[in-house]
Amino acid sequence: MSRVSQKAVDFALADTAGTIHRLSDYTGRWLLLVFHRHLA
Amino acid sequence: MPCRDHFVQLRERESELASLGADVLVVTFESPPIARAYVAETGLPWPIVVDADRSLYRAYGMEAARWRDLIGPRVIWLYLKLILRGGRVRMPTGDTHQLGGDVIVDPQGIVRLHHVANGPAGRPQIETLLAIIRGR
Repeated sequence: MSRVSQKAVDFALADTAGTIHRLSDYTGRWLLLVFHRHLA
Repeated sequence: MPCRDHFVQLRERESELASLGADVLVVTFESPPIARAYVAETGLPWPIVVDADRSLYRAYGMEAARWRDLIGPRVIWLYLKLILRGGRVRMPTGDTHQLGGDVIVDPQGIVRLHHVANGPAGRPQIETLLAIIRGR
């Protein structure tokens, strides 16, 4: 179920400093989302 | 660890990504303390956000890996190369079945790459990612 050519999924997620990152924050920029597997 | 190799390659091209007007956002499902420890250990230069309920992972089709994705020949070869380079292989902790991947969103909010990694061995080449952002 590729989402290529579709609108990106909206999100509002906090980073490790507690800052919320929203998809709309990146409007006008290229965004590379790197989904990590387990960190440890 | 192959995922970390992916980040090493990304970091080698960090200035190029910035010059292309690209931002990188790392997504994890693990807890903020684990994410902070990871950042402290690796010096990750990009923000890492916590998708605790994995809803964003699922929205992009990143579900659980199959066993052959975790221990298949390609993964074995990747770890063998790591060992031969003198790298350290550690027994993983955490949920090793959660799949990762890469998604590129263009400035208009449209998905231009949607890659679900089929286990540790399935990340796209950095050149592929850069080519999409460069527009060729």
